[in-house]
Amino acid sequence: MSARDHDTELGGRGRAFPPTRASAVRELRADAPDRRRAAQEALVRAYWKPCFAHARAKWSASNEDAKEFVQGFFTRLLTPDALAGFDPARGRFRTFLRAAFDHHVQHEREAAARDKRGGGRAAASFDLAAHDVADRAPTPEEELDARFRREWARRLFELAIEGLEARCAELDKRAAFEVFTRYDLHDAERGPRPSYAQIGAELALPETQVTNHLHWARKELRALVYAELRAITADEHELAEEARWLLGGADA
Amino acid sequence: MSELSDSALRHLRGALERPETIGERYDVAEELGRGGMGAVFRAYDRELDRDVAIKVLARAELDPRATERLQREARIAARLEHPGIVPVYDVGALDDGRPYYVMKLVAGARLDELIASERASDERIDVFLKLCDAVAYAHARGVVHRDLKPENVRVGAFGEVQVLDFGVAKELGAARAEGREQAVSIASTGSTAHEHAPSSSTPGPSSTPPRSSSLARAQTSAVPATRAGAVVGTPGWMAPEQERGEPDVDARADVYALGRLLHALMGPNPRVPARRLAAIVARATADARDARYPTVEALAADVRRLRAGEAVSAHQESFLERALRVAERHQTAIAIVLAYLALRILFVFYGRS
Repeated sequence: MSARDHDTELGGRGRAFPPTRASAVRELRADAPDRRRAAQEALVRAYWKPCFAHARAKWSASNEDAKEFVQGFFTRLLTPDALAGFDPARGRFRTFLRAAFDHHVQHEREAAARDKRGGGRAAASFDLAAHDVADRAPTPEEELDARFRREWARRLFELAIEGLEARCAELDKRAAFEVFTRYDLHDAERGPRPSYAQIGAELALPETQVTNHLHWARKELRALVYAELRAITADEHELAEEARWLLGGADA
Repeated sequence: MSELSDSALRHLRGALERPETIGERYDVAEELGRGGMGAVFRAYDRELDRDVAIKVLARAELDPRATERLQREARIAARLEHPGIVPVYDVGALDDGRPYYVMKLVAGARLDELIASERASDERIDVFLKLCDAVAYAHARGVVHRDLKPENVRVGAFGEVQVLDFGVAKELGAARAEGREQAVSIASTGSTAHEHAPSSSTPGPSSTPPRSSSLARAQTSAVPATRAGAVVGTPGWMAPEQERGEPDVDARADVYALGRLLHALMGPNPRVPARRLAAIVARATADARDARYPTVEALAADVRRLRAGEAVSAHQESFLERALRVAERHQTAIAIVLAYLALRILFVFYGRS
């Protein structure tokens, strides 16, 4: 079974969101519970799938176990001190979150083993996760890290595309979304990418209109990707760093 | 939506970064190279019906300082009209504000490819001397490259040499005139405009036109490109004073890099006099810049003497070395004289008997 099974929507379907968004990483430390909850929802939307895939890939968790690990992890993110160990100066939030999730899974596994032996359970420390991030030397886990990052990028783009679809519906620009879907979302494994002329013929649009639609859709999508990215990064520096990787042509 | 495929994800990441060009004139195709500050793309110039290279600031780098750096790089390269320096054709800004400049799409191999090839030593010296010509010209126009390395030199099929990437160049005249360091920081793209295989049949995106502008317009920015003490260059090729971040780097930094390039180009070569070549390299790459050749022309002159079998200024010959060099240089004439003498001796000997 693939690590990316399409069997759950716990991360939530795409919803309309404003073009500019506050950093959920910061909002998670807000005093007001409703703000913390909103921040948690934003992080769940972006990270549920990557964490789920990571639990399956690294921890060989079953589908149900992986869901439980992820669910338990994000539930704990609601606690006020959940991010006490996160320091933006020491690393990216994405890296911290992955290490924290690993720590959570490891702790859950150990606790389950203790339960079998009749022992008690205690909550895993996210502070330790932060320490792990800072001190961890490069290991063969880099491949897992790359996979986690790829899933993270995929989820980010999926959310942005959902936002684009909503925006196209709102602005009555469904033709633009159709052009974008046929050209930019084309899966190379299904054959060569259609030309602008082919798409124009299929949609009864002049070629220039096809390229105009594509240009508009990409511009909107870029803004939406940045909005999503802003929501799950701690500050402008991290936003720029993540954007540099995400849109900078590095290998995914 | 269904899950985004790996290929679609790769395509989208590239499509969002790639310049949404320049539909009026330039049609951007594939990426040729990328560095810390931006990327170079192959593009087609519709107006002049030719392929060009476009260097565009990375979206994530977009700020006044980085913009000024790229525009300044374009201005410097545009000022250097020499067959050995890649010409700049145009400069402008995309509709998202990112600056770009358009330059010749250079064909040919990188110098490191030539180094690894089986090219003869004479060809290598020719390439080196052409490289010296281009750098000396830049110096004469008050520009120190500061990042000469194999990746920034292209060699064409007919031996033509072109220097690329003035991203970290220093303007000596400007520094004197303004009393301040004009160095740009290490954030050069390091990317190059070399010829690649033709792109796929997929056409590049066409879109709204850029705010194309002239070089003069690009000169209006007054944002300093200076970062005092910044280390500028590439480890392994940059001069010691660059590594130390000294602010008053001058043309001798390029002499140092050329010395390293000469060493890499010639390597251990039995057809080149090792001691004199080593002396030239040693002088060019001396740690103390006062001990180096004062100019690129002086370095090139010594390399020409080396090729001609003459004494080089970097090496004080002993009498024996000089005799051997002269003998080697005039070996044909000496062989004829020796043969004549041998015949005379034989004639005298057999004539008596």
